[in-house]
Amino acid sequence: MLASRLNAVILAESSPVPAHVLWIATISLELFVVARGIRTKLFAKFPVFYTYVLFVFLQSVVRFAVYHWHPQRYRDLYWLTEFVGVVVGCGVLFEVYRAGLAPYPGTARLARNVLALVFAFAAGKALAGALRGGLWFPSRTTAELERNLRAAQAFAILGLVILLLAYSIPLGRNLRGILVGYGLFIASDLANLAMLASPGRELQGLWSYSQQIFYLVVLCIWAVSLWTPSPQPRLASSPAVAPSYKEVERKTRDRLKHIRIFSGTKKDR
Amino acid sequence: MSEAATIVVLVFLAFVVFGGLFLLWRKPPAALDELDERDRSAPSAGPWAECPHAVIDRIFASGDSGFVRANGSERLCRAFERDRRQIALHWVWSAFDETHRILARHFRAVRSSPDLSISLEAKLVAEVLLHQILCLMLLAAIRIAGPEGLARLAGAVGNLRHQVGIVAEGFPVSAGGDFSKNSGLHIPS
Repeated sequence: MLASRLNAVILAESSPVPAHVLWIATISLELFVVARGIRTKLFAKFPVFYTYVLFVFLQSVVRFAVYHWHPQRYRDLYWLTEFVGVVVGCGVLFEVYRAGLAPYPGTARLARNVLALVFAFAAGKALAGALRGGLWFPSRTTAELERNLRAAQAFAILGLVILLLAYSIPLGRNLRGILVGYGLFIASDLANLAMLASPGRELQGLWSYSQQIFYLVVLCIWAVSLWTPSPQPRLASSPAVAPSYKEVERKTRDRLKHIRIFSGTKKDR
Repeated sequence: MSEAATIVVLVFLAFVVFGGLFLLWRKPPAALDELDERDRSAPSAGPWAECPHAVIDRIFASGDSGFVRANGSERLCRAFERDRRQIALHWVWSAFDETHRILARHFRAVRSSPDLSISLEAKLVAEVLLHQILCLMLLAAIRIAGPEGLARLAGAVGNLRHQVGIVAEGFPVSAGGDFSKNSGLHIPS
């Protein structure tokens, strides 16, 4: 399935003007985000994220150079850098989780378990696939690994977003931008992986352009949301003596028992 | 997994992630604080405040509709049924909403608890999800059959349960540890 991906990427990139324009625009924006991060000192606050952007920037430059001067080496370089990029990208999620949930130790523990579960499931699935055998075919293996890792990242983002929404945990503009941008990138990459598995090279080439445009949108989101440092919002008012978890849980159960309509209604009267 | 299934799963996952991110983007911190304030200032009384047990018992009983059918016109009967159905639906929806609100309030109350128990949270969420699914099923059943039809169905199920109970009571009681005793089973040694 994914063997066609590189072909589509090359197909899109081999078209003269727009691909080059997009490529250069991407490199410029990546450089801009990193430079702005250094200037605003956000680099020190979100080191993993900026390392990731820096890595992607260097990757884009090297790819661009190799594509023009050693096109026969492009394929190997593509998969190698793509795989490293996916692994570094996993760190971005852990950074969002670490920085965003720092004031919420209990929820952070819950999120840690969710993320560990997702990645353990993905690793288990990959290991089971490897044990089942098959060809040790570099580009195919890296491509499938990328698909599995992207899917795992998507589940991890989803788990994190559900936790943030359910527990009404506010994120600052910076972190929200990082998470939304990275999530958008993962979602578009997943759509890309699905699209490239479908028949029709024209559609694949078209979508490859769309993904590059999506990536530009992601870079714009990062550039805007990380323009200035934004503090992580604190809870507006918290009572001086917070009730213990057990107490809150018991109260919630009492409330639920009171409104339950399927059992215990006669007793509750 | 087949190629087509993989495509469908990936596209579905992409859409779900898009949706989640959109919701996250749309929910600013200020809105969350407002929710906290609203919870503190006006705790809801739940579905029983609007629809007391006595009313709900009558809504699902056949007495009133029998009376209206015997003494009223066809048009009145239809209007009566429609209103009963609306009240029943309103009651279930309010229970659904209130359950959701209680869980949301719980989440906001425990979000900064250092001693948050993952197992208790999971259990609570599972219970609430089950309740909400049952509410949705009840809503569908009320829409399809109406409160009276549902009550008749519940009555039939109750009768069946009673019959099964009577038959089960007639079974000889076997000794605790030996399942073959009095069961008619022969286990060769």
